[in-house]
Amino acid sequence: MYSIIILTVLGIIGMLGDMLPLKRLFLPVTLLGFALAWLGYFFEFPMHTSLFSFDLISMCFGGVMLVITGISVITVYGYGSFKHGSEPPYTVLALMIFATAGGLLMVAWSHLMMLFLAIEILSIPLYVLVGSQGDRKASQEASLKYFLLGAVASCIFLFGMALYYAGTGSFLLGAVHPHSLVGSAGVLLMIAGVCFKAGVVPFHSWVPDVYEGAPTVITGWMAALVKVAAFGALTKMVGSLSYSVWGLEVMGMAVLTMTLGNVLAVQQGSLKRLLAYSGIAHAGYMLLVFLPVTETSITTVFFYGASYALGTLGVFTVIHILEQSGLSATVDALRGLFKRNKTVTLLWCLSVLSLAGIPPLPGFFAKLLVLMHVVKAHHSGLLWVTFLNFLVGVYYYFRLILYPFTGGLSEESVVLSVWQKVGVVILLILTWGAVLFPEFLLSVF
Amino acid sequence: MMLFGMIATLAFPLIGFFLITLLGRVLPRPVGGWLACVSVAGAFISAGTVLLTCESSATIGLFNWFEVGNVSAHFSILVDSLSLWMSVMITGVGGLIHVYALGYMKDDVRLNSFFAYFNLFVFFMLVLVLSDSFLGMFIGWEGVGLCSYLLIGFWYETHAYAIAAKKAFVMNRIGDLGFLFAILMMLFFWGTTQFSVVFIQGLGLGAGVLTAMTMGLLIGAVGKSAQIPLFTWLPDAMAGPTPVSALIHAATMVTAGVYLIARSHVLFSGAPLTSLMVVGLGVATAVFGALVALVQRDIKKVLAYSTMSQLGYMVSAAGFGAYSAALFHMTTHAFFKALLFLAAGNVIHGLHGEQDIFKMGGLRKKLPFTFVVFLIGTLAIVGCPPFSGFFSKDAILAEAFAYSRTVFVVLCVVSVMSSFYMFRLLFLTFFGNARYGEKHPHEGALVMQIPLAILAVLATVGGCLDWPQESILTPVLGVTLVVLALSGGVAYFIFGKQVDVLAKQPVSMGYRMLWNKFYVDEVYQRIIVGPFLSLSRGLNQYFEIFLGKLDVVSLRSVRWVGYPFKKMQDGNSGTYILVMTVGILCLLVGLFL
Amino acid sequence: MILLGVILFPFLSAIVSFFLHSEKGSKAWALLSVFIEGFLVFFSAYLYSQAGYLSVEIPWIQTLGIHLHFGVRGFELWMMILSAVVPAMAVVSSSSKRANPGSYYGLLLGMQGALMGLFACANLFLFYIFWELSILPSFFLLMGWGGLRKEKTAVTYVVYSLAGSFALLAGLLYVFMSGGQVSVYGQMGVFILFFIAVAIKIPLWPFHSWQPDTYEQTDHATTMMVAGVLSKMGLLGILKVMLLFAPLGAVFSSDKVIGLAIVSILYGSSLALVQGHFKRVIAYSSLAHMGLMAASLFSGTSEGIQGSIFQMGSHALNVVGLIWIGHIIYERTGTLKLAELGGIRSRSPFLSAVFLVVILGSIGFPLTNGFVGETLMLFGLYSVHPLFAILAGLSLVLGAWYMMRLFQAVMLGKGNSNLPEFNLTWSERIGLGVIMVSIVGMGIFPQPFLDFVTPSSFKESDSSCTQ
Repeated sequence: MYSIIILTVLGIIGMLGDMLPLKRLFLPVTLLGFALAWLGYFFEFPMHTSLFSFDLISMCFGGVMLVITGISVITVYGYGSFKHGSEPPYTVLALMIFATAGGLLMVAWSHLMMLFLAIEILSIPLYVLVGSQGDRKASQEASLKYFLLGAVASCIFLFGMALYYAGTGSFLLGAVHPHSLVGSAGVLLMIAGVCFKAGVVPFHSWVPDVYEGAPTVITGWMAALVKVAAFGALTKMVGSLSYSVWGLEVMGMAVLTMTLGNVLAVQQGSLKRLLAYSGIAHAGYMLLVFLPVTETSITTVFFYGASYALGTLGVFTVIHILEQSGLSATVDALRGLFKRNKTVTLLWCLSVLSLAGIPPLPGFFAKLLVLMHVVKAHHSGLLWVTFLNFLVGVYYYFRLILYPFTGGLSEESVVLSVWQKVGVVILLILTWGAVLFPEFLLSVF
Repeated sequence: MMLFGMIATLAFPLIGFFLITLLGRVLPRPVGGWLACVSVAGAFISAGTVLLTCESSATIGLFNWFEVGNVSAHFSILVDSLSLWMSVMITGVGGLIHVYALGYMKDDVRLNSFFAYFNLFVFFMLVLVLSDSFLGMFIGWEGVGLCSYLLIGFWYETHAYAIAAKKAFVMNRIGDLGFLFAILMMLFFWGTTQFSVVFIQGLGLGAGVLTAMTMGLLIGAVGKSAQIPLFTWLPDAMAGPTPVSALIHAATMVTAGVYLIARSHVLFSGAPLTSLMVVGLGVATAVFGALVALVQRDIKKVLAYSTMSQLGYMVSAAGFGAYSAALFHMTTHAFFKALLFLAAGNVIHGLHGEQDIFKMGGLRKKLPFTFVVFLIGTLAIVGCPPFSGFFSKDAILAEAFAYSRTVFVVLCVVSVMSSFYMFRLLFLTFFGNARYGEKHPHEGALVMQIPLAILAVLATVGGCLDWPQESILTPVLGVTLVVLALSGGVAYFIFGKQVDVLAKQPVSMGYRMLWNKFYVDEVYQRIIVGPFLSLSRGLNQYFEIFLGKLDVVSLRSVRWVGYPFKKMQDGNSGTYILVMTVGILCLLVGLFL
Repeated sequence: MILLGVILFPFLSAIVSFFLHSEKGSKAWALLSVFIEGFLVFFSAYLYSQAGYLSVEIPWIQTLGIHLHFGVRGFELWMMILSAVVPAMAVVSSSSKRANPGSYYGLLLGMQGALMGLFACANLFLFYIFWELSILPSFFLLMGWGGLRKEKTAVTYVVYSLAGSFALLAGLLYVFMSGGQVSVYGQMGVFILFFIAVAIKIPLWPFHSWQPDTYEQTDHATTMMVAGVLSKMGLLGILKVMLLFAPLGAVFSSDKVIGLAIVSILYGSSLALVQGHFKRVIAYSSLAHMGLMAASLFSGTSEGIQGSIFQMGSHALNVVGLIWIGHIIYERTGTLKLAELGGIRSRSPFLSAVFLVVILGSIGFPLTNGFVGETLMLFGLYSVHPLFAILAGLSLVLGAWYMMRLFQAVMLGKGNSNLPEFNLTWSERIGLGVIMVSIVGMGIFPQPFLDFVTPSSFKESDSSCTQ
C-alpha cells in the first residue's frame, strides 16, 4: 500500500508543480519517492487482503515499472530543459506517475474489481498522455482511437468479470474452478481484456497508430510500462486458471501475434510503427511462456519483460533524440548516426540487438528462456514457428543496425541535454549490468 | 663417404639456388651463372665419386617427415646403381647445359633467376631419382613440374608463353593426381610408400588392386612424359629458352615417367592389363609424335615431337619389360637430344630468334661447328651405327621383336619416319639455299661450343655404356643402313636441293591433319575445356544469382504473408473494433471445440 | 586462469581502443594488444604442453546452471594460436588511412576475443554465445569500412549467419533439454540442425551464397578474419559439438555430408576459374578448400581428422597471405579486377615470389603446408571410399588451374605501362617473409604441429558440456 500512496502523493505534487517553489528539487524528490515506493514493499511484505496482495510478483514487476518510469521521468525532464527556456512538463510527469500507480496495482490485486480499477487507472492517464502533443493531429487522433478501443476493451473485461461471477459466484480467481461454460467464457473475455493492453492479436490494432501518434518520449515509456504491467497481471491471472479453458486459444493468439508483428514490421518505413509491430511480436513470444504455466514461467516472463523494457526504452530514447535533432522518425533518419554521436549509436545498437535476441545481451537470455520453455513443453511445431519468427525479426532489426553506419542525411553532431545524457548512461549501465549479472534478475523467483 | 657424397649431391644445387636467390640483387650477373654451374658440377663430382666407389646399394635415412595414425613418411635417400646412374646423368648433362646457358642467356636481364630455377630444377630432379619412397619421389615429381612452369614462362611478359607455362603445369597436375592416387593406395595398404616395403609386399595384393595402383602410376607417367593423351603441353613448352627445352623437356624431366615405370616394375609385372596399356600408349605416342614431326616447320617443335616419339619408344619398352633397354635409350636420348636442342639453340641464336626451318637453309657453311654436331646428333637419333642411338634402339627393337611382332613392326616404321623427319630437318636447316634474308648467322661463344662438343662425343660413344647381350645385331645393322639410306635419300630428294621449298607445300587432307597435330588441342578445347568453362560461367551467372536472390524471394514471401494483416490495419477505428469483435467471437467459438 | 586472461584481454583492449582516435595511436595500441595476446596464447600452449589440459570454471548464471567454463585441448589450442596469429597479421597489414581507426581496431580485437572464447569454451551455452558474438564485429566492420555494395551484403551476411545460429541454438536446446543423452532419432534431428549451422559458417554448397560478396566487400583485415578464422568456426563446431553430441547422426549421414562437401569442392573450384575479381577467386577457392576439410572430418579416420585440423592452420596462413598480397596490390593500383591487373612481377619480384609460394601452399604442393594436410585428408576420404578421394582430388588439378590463372592475370604479362612502383614497406616485407617461411617450414617439418592435434586430444568427451 505504501508504494501506491507515495506515488499518489508524488503525482499530486507534480500536478501542482508549476506553482510550487523550489522547482529544481522536483526531480530529486520524485526519484527519491520512487526509491521509497519500492522500499515500501519491504515494510509490508507479504500482505494479502481481500482486495490486494502485495507479494513477490508485485514487488518485482513493480520494481521494474518504477525503474522504467524513473528513467523516463529523467529523459522527459531532460527533454523539457533541452527546449531552451521552457519549463519541464510537470503535468506530463504527474500523469506518468499516476499511470505507474495503476501499473503497480495491476500486479498487486487479489479481487477482480481491483484489477479492473487498476487497468483503468493505468489507461486514463495514458489516453491523455498520448494526446498531449496537442498541436499534432496524429497525436489527437491516436488519443481518441486509444480511448475508443480502450473503452471497448474495458467493456469486454467487465463483461467477462460478470460472466465469471455468473459462472462461479466469486470475484476471486481460482477460488472456484470454472466448470461452467459461462465461467469459462468469462475467463476468456477477461484474458482478452488484459491482452488488449499487452497488444496481442487480434486486440493489437491500436498499437501502431498509438505508438506513432504519441509523443516519442511517451511512446517508449508506455510501451515498456504497459507491457510489463499487462504481463504481470496475466501472470497473476493464468496461474490460477485452468489451462484447458484458455490453453489452445492463447496458443493460437501467440502464433498469430508474433507472426503478424514480425511480418508487418519488415515492411515499415516509420521507426515508431516498426517498433510497434516488433512490440506486438514480443508480446507473442511472451505469451508462449504460459503454454503451459510452470514454475519457470514467472521467472521467464519477468526477465523477458525487464529486458524488453530496457531495450524499448533505449530504442525510443534514441528515436526521441533523433527527432530532437530535427529529423522525422523514419528508418532513414538513422543514417549517419554513427558519425553524429557514438554513444547514442552504442545505446541504439545494444538496445536493438537486445530486442533481436543476440547474445550476450539480456534479450538473448529472455528468448533463450522462452525457447527452453517451449522445448520443455514439447511443442515442436511451435518451436519452428518461433524460430522462423526470430529469423524474420533478425532481418528488420539488422536493417536498423545497418543504417547508422551508412552515409547520412545530416552531418551535424547530436547534442543532448545533461539529463538526457544521464538517462542514456543509466540505460547503458543497466544493459551491461544485465549482461554481466543476469543472475540478479533470474534468481528472484 | 657415401652418406657425405649423397648429401653433397643433393645439397649443392639447393645451396646454389638459395645463394643465387638471396644474393640475386647483389651478385654481378655472370657470377650467378657461374655459381650455378659450379654447384651442379659439385653435385656431379660427388655423385660420380659415389658411383665409382660404392659397391652395394644402401638407404640413407635423413629424417621423419610426418607420422600420423598408420601413415608414416620418411625422407631417405636410396643409393643403388639406378639412382646413382640417373643422378650422374642428370648432373652431367645438366651441368653441360648449365654451361651452355651461360652463353645462351648472357644478355638476359634476369640471368640470375634463370640459373636459380635451373639449380632448383636439378635439385628436384635429384630428389626424384634419389628418394627411396614414392612420396619422396612425388616431391621431386611436383618440384620439377614447378621449375618447368617457371622456366617455360621465363619470358612471362609474352602472354602466349605464360599461357603455355600454365598449360604445362595444369596438365602435369592431372598426371600428378594419378600418381597421388597410387600413393594413397599404398598408404592405405601398407601405411608407407618406401620402395623396400612396397616392392616386397606389392605382389601380395590382388591383381585388381595392383591394376588400379599401377594405373595411377601410369597416369602420372603419362602426364610427365607427355604420352597420349596428356602430351599437348610439351610442344607448347618450347616457349621456354632453348637450354630449358634441352634440359627439362628432352633430357631429364620428361623421362621421369620412364624412370617411374622402370622403378616400380615389380608392381607393373603384377598387373598385365596396365602393362598392356603402357605398351599401347607408348607405341601410339611414338607413332603420333613421328607423324606430326614429319611436317612441322618450327625447329624446336620438330625436336619436341621427336622427343615425344622417342619417349613413346621408351615407355613402350618399359611396358613390355625391357626396363634396362628403356633406361639405356633414355640415357643415350639424353645425350643426343640435348645435343640436338642445344645445336638448334645455336641456330636460333645465330639467326636472332628465327625458328622456322623454311626460313633457314644453307647454314652448313655459316655454322660449320653447329652443323657437325647437329649431324652427329641426327645420326645418333636415327640409329645409324656406330652412334649411340643405334645400340639403344636396337636393344628396344630386339625386345619388341621378342614381345610382339606387331609392336616390332610399328616401332620399326616409327624409326623410319624418325630418320625421315630428322634428315628433313637437317637438310632444310643446313643445306639448300639460304632463306633467312638479311640476317648474318654466327657461331655461339666458346662457352656454348664446349658443351656441344662434349655432348657430341657422348652421343657418339654413348653406346658403349651398355652393349646388348643377346642381340640380333647383324640383321638389324643391315636393315638399318638400308632404311637410313632410303629415308635420307628421299629427304634429300625433297628438301636438300636448291629449290624454293615454300612453293612445293603439298596441301592435301593428310598434310593438314599432320600440320594441325590431328587437331588434338582443338578437340580438347572444344570437348573438355570449353564446355567446362561454359558450365562454370553458366553456374556463375545463373545459379549463383539465383542463390543470391533467395533472400529477396523469402522477403517477398514474408510480405505476401503479411498482406491480409496489412489490410486490417487501415487506420479506421471501426475496422479495429470489428477485428476485435471477430477475435472475441473466435475465442468463444473455440470454447465449444 | 590464464585462459580467462586470454579471452578477456582482447575485449578489454578493444574497449580501450574505442576511445582512441588517432590513426597511429590506435594502430600502436592494437599492435601491442595482439602481440601481448599472442604471447598469452603461446604461453598457454606452453602450459598445455606441461599440464595436458587447461581449464577454468567460474559460476555465472546459477539459476540455469550456466558457468563460465573454459578448457582447451590440443586442437582447440591450435585454433587459438590461429586466432592469435591471424589478427596480428590483419593489424600489421593495415596501413591505409581510414575513418575511425579506434573503432576499427576495437572491433577487430573484439572479434579476436570472441574467437578465443569460442575455441576455449567448454560448454554449449558459451559456445553459442561466442558463436554469435563473433558475427557482430564482422558485421560492423563490413558496415563501417566495407565497399560500395556493403548494405545488401551485410544484410545477406547477417541473415545467413543468424539463420545458422538459430539452427545451432535449436540443436543446443534439444541437447540441453535431453541432458546430453540424445535418443537416436533425436540425434538425427540435432545432427541436421548442427549441420545447417556449420554448413552456413564454413560454408558448404549450397549455403555459400553470402560468402563471395562478403569477401569482396569487406576490407582486407576483415576478409582475413572471416576467411582465416571465422570459417574455421564451422569446422570446429563439427569437432567440438556435432561429433560429440550427435555421433549416431554422423555415423548415418557422413556419406551424404561428404557428398555435399565434395560438391562444394568441385563447385567452388569450377567457379573460381571464371571469376573476374581477386577476392572472389579467393572466396570460391576457400569454398573448395573448406569443403575438403569438412569432408575429411567426417571420414572418421584419425589421419583424415588430423590432416583436416592441420590444414585449418595451413589454409588460414595461405588465405591470409593471399588477401594480404591482394591488399598490397589494391593499395598500389586501386583495383582488384583481374582484367585491369597484370605485369606486377616485373615491378616487384619479391611480391611475386611470395605470391607463388602462397599459391603453391594452397594448391597442396609438396614441401608446403598444403601438401601434408591434403594428403592426409585425401587419405581419410580414400578410406571411406576411393571415389571420394578421386573426386576430391580433382580439386588439385582445378586448384592449380585457377590459382595459376590468378597468378598469370595478376603477375605475368606486360601489364599497364602506368603501373606504379611497388615499394614494399618493411612491415610488409617481414610479414610476407614470415608467411612464406612458415608455409615452407610447416611443409617440411609438419610433425610438431601434427603432434599438437593428436586424436587422443578430442576423444575424451567433456561431460560438463551439457551442464
